[in-house]
This record gives sequence, C-alpha cells and structure tokens, in this order.
Amino acid sequence: MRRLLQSIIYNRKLYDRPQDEWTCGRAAECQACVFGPGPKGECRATGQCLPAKKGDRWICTRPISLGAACEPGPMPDGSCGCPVPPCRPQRSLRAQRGRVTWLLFAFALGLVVLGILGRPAGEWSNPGPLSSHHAMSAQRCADCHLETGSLAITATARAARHEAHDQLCLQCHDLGPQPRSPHGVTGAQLAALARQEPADHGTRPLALAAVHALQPGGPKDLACASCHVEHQGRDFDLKRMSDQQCQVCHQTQFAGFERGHPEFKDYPYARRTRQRFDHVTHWQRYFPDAKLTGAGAPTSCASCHEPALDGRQMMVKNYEQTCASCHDGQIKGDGRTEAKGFAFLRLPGFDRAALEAAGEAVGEWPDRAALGLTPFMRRLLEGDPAARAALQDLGPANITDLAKATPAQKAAAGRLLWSVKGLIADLTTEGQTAILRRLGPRPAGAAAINRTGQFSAESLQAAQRAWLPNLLAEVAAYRRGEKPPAPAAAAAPAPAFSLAALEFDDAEARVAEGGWYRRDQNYTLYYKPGGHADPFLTAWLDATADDATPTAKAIFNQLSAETAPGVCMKCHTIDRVGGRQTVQWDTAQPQPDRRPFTTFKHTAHFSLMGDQGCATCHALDVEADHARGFGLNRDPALFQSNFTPMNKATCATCHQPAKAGDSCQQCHNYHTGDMKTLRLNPGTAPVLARPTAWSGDPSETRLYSLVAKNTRP
Amino acid sequence: MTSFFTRRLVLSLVTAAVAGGLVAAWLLGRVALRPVAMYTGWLLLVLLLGLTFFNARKKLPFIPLFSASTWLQVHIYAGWLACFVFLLHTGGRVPSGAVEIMLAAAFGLVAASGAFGLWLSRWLPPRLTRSGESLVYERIPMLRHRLVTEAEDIVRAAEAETQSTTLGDFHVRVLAGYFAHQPAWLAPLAGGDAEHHRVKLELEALRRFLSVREIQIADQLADLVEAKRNLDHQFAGQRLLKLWLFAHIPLTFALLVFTAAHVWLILQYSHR
Repeated sequence: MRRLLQSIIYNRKLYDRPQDEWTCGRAAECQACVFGPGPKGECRATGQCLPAKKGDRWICTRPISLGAACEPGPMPDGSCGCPVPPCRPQRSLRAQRGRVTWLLFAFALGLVVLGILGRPAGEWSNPGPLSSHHAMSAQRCADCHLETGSLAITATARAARHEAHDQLCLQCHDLGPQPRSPHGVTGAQLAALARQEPADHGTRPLALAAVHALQPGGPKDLACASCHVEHQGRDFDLKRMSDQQCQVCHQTQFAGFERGHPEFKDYPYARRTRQRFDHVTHWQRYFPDAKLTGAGAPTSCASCHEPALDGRQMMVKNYEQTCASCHDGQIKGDGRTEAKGFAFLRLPGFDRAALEAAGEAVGEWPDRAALGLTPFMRRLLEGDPAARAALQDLGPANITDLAKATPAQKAAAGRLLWSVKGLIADLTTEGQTAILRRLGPRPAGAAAINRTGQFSAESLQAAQRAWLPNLLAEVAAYRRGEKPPAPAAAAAPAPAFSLAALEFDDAEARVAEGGWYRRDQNYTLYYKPGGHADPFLTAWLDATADDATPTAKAIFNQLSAETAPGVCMKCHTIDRVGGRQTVQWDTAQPQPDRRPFTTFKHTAHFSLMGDQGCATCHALDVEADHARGFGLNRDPALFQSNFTPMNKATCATCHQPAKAGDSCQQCHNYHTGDMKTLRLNPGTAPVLARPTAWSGDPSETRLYSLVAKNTRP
Repeated sequence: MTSFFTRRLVLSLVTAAVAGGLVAAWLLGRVALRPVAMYTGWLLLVLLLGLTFFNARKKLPFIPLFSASTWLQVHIYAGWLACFVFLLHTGGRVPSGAVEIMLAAAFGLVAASGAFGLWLSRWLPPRLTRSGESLVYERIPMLRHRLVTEAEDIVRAAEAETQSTTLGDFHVRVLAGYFAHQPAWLAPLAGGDAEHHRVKLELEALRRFLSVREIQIADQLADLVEAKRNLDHQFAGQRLLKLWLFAHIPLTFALLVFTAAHVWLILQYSHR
C-alpha cells in the first residue's frame, strides 16, 4: 500500500513561509512554533500558543495542527501552559541565495572600483591589444582618447567628442586639407563627380540596395572609427573593409569588379607625358633604322624604362641611358646654321646724330652698333632705377631712329645710353655680383644662382677694351656729374690679336662644351649652352616661366622657342595648371606624399605578361594625334596618348574573386591626395576644428578646451 | 486552450523572426558604416535589464503586470534573444580586455546557467511526478523526521505486542540509520537506489524469521522504506531545481556591475 506523507487536511497542514528570511530551528523535528523567528533571526518562542482572555479567564488558542487546546491550559498570568524551549533559527534557502547574490555583487563592484582607482587603470580598461601600427601608444591612452570630461550622452556631446577624437587621430595622420571629407576632396569636387557619373545600379547586392534606399548618399558623419576599429588585436587589419562598405556612399554601385565596375576611361593616361616623346614614330620609324640600331637604339621597353624602388611606377631611365645617343648633338647645336648661343649682352644701336642734335652727351659709342637691347640686358637694366625710368620714358620710341621722337624721349634715350654704359661698366668691374644685384631677390629654388651662367668678367673686360676703351673713365665721370671726356678716336672694333702668329678658331667653336663668347661684328656677348640640362638655361626658364612681366616673357619665349639653342622644348613640356606655368624637366617620379585613388604595382604583374611583353597592356595607338597635345598646348590634360587605354577585361582576366581577388582596396585608396601618409608628427600641437554642427553650447566649448589640454606625454 | 507545443512553436518562431530581423539590420548597419556595436550594445542592455526585472517582478506580486507564467515565457525567449544579440554585439570576437573578459564570462555563465535551469525545469518535474508523491521541498526535513519517529513507534509497538526483538534489532541495525540518512547530491536522480534496495532485500530476508503478526508489521515498515525512497528522490530533485538559481541570480547581478563599467568606459572612451 502506498504510504502518503503529506496531510491533505487543511487544518492539519502547517503554513509554510519559504519567502521568509528565517525558519524555525525546530521545524525539522516537526515542532516549529507558531510564532516563528523574528525578522533578524531571533527566536520568539514562548509557548505553543498565545492564550486569549475571555472575560476573566484565559483560553488556550493552540492550533489544531498542534493538537488543539492543551490539557493544562494557560497559566493564571496568561502565559502558555505548554512552554516551548527556544531554538536556533535557520536561514532560509532564499535568504542564503540573497547573501550569495550580495557577496558576488560586492565582489564584482570591488573589482571594478579597484580597476578604476588602482594603478593599472589603463590596462584594466583596455578592451584589447592595439594593432602593431599603434603599439607605441599601448600605455598612452591619451594619444587617442580624451581622458577627461563628462560622459558624452547627448547626441550633440557625442558628435563633439567624435570630432575631438578625430582631431587626435589627425595629430599623427596627415590626411591633407580635407581630412574628414570622403577621399579627401572637397564637397564641390564630389558634387562635380556626382554630376559626371550618372547613377547606375545594374547588379548591386541586395544589402547595398537596401542601405541606399534607407540612407541615400551614405553616412553623414563619418568618423575615423567608422572604418578603423582599434583594440582588435596586434595583427588586426585596420583597413579591412568590405566592398559593400566601400560603395555605400557611391551613386553607382555594383556587385564586383567583373560585375558592374565602370569601364576604364583613358586609364592610366590621366595627363600627357612630361617629356614629349612619340612612341609610335620612334618605334616604327627611328628605332628600326639600321644605322640607329647600330648607334644603340632601344630594342625593348626595358631599354628606357625600369620600375621604381617600390615597384609601382615605371620610371624613365636617365637622359644618358636613353636619349643622349641620338639627341646629344642636337642639344649642343651640331649642324646648326644660326648662332649656337644666346645673345646676352650687346651694345645697342643708338641714333647718335639725333641725340647729339638734342644736346645729349653720348661720349664714346660705336657707329656700327645697330641691333637692339637683348631681353637679358633689358632685365638687368630694369634692376637699375635710372635705367628703368629711362626705359619707361622712352616708351615705344626706337633708339636706332629717333627722328620722330619727342625731346623727352630723346632725353630718355640719352639716359638709357649711359645706363647701358653703366651696366657694362658694372659687369666689367663687379662681374657676377652685379648680375645678382640687378636681378634682385633670388626666386625660390637653389638653381636660381645658376642665372649668372658662371659669367666671366674677364671676357667682358676684353670686349669692353675692344668696343669701348674709355668706358670706365666715362662712366666714372658721368657718375660724378662731370661732362664725359671727348672720345679719343672713332669707336671701331679693333681686330683682336691681329698680329698673332697663329690662327684662331671661330669664337663660337672655341666654346664647344658651352660658355661665353663674343662677336665684335655686332658688339654682342653670347652664352652657348653646354649640353643637356644646362644650368644657365634651366635656371632662366624656371625663373621666367611664371613671370608675367614683358621682359621675363621675352626671355622665356626666346629660350623656349623650339629652335632656340639647346632645344630644351623639343622634349620638355610647359604645363599651365591653375594659372601657374612650370617647365617639366623631370619625367614622372614617385611621390611618396601623394596617394592616388588608383594604385598599381608593375613588378607584381611582370610575371603575368604575355608574348607581347609590356604591349600586353600598353598597346601602341598609331591613330592617335599625339603631336597635338604638345607644341603650343600648355594644358597637360589636353592630349592623346600614344597608347590605347587599358580596358577592364584585361584586368578581369585575373582579378576575379576566385583568382587574384577583386576587392576595391586592391586597386583603390580611400585617403587620397597630397599627404604625409602615416607619418607621425609627435611634436605637432593639436589643430582644433569646429564641427559643422557647432552650436556654441558651453559643454562643447569645454570639450574642445579639453582637447587642447590633452597633450601628448 | 493553447497547448504547450503550440505555445513553444509560436514563441520560437517569433523569437527567430526577431533575431532574423536583427541580423538583417546588423548587416545593413555594417554596410552603412553605422556603429552597430553601439546599437546592439544598447539593445543588449535593455534586454538585460528586462530579464533582470523578472526577478524583481517575483518580489512584487501585488503589481498587476501579467502573470508569473507570462513573465517566465518572456524571460526564456528574451534570454535566447539576448544570447543572439550578444553574438552580434561582439561580432564573434573573443574578448581580450580585462573588463570585456569578465563581462563576457559573466554573460556566458548567466546564459549557461539559465539554459541549464530551463532544461532542468523541463526534464526533472515529470520524473519527480513519476517517482511518487509530490512533496513540498521545505517540508521534507519534517517528513523525514516523521518517518524516523513513525518507524520507531511501529517497531516499539511490535516489540510490546509480540514479545520479540527481531524487528527491534533490525530497526537498530538497519532502519534507524536509513530513515535518518540525507541522500547525497545527485545519487537518487542518477538511479542511485542501492541503499534502498539493500534495506528492502534485508527486510525481505528477515520475513522468514518473523511470525505472522511481525510479517504484517514488516509490511508497514516496507511501505515506510518506499516512502523514504520517494522522499530522497524528491529532495534531490527539488534541491537541484532551487540550487541552479544560486548561480543564475548572483551572476546576473555581477553581470550588471560589469555591464555598468563597460557602458561607462564606452561613453568615456568610444570614438563612435
């Protein structure tokens, strides 16, 4: 027979209170008192009941579960007749659990408080190891975090804190003038790009389409941490981004490189080459020439090109390795019928008769001098205030024929004559110092000093003796305010060393490798370029390329003419970008501080070239009007390349998810432009920029002041 | 009336649908470069506080906020959802910072103890019901005491009636210790009835030495032995049903402390 232990009679059942803190110590012996323990665990037992007074008698109130009214009944004083010995109350299970809970809570709280107040607070709050790039900041939280200030809870405070945190990032990472703008470009540039590229959503992923619908144009508040999440471990790739994340702002979105990526436009030919070089004519006409081949004409692309040290860019080898074998003679003027040098200084022809008729003292001056001022000479004269005033007063009058000139112009011509004499005298007596003084402040660039062309005062002295023997005495008297002495004889160039026993070569031929020479027939001092990269020519071209004064323009035009001695502009181009004109002396060079949007590593692709070699990707375009991009054109963006643009299909042969990969970051940079990439500026003071949503709130002001105080240790 | 199976199916589907929606939102947020860790963190905090309020709700029975059963169902499924949101929040990354390790460990232990308790509350009660009379846990010590005294009374009465000490000796040697004995932790649940069977076998073997009257009394003692077996079973099972909360609830409060520290650090240092 089954034995049931629990009574089902209601009044035989004890009333359990498991939620109470304490239970009676005698409950396990079935002798729990009716009162139970007090709230603090004290025993309250006195008897089995609390007798009630009815009239003048005490009545037992013992419950039925304990046997109902007892036989002895209450005592006369009203106390229970069945006293219960006191017990030691037990803590209930619920209370024990509560104690464990509070103990663990206190333990956790203690850990947290110790962590915050203890010495290794930084280690304690560190959510994980920094990446190796930031390892030096492992113990310096203040490098990247604002360690003071109130909690940023409101949206405004959080935006301000994000801005301040970004500024801390930018203390070390120079991202150019638009550090927080997408791709580092201005809003206007982005808008222009958006207008150029029509929105095209061919086969984009569903997630991208959904995000685009919910958030057209991408996130409005891109913080550095939107893409770069730190404290993820030493080997974590901080630049890891999915292709979909890269495209979230783009109006043209696609599923992959092969599936929807826009076709290339003129890639990689974004501008004309810095040197004018027609690959088509050279490869098809000149190089195959048997004679030239014998003279060392290139046989492959590698003859002239080599990869840069980083393997990305293909460089052009230097002049001696490439062009010199064929073009060196042209530069030195071999076979040139005209003068091989530039006229630097000259005795210009003055209308002596008109001057003397006007009462101007001329002094010694050769009658046969007939040519005008050279641009160089005019530039040096402009360095003399008196000469500059004379030139200004002279205006358009021709100094060789002053018949129609006004008296004032004649007077100016007279002053100019003496300024020319003064110039020659200064150059004779002071040499290069006089040139530099008259050219004025040196323009930027160390090469500006080369504008003297290693000028030889001795050469000019010899010329002066031959052309104007009394020059120094005349100029000295003129500058003292005295009347110049009368010329001793007609100034005619005397044949130099006419009694010499040996014959002299032509003056121009005597400076075969460049230098100064003179022609007495026209009273001119010439400078002959000494070969490729002549310092005198490059210095004057650089100094005058962006100088708008008429004299500088005249010098520049003279030197940059395609037929000018040195033929610099036969190959080197002149770029006018943003109103500034520069001569491109160098071929394209690696620019470590410039991050392009599209990046490519040539050396990584050498092993993939087919039988056609470089032409696998760079095919000659014989139809292109290459020449039109050069000559008088100064806009580097206006050109037609010698090569057909690369097409996407060539790259897509390998760049597929299952092959070489097709992620955006393989070819594109996000942070682009002129920047010092990942270059640490530990000494740079924080540059504070107000957020666009600056409200002037005092809490924001305080936050920004905190950034300023957040100095690096 | 909704069956248990239907209720579980509906609530599981609802939870799965919410989790699916959260995954979709998380994926979209990641693509959109939104601070999904921040969003999921706040959601997780709300869930944690809601789950913790279940404990407070039990202490406030006078507030008419749905039945305890409804709260339990919400607690169970919101708990599963919290585990899911936790995975989204961490992105599956194993934490490596001190606070994060403690926080993740606390969360893991709370979740594991909760899942264990849920499984226990589904697995044990049917077995306890099948075991015999259902007993109130708090009364089990009293009932054990009653069994001890009842056995003593029966044996003492038998000795007086039959003038034989056979049952008395057996009680002293075997039964007294057996009835007063408190079972080990999980032995009764794991089928550890060896002691019970040994006592029953010895009692059975004793019958051939007993008179007819003593055999009747031995049958009464056998009923008590069977009641003691059920008592031990009930005690072990119900103790387990209560003791898992000794891990779940205290760890929950430790988790709240670590969560508060984590939130403070995020608000203080986060770049997003």
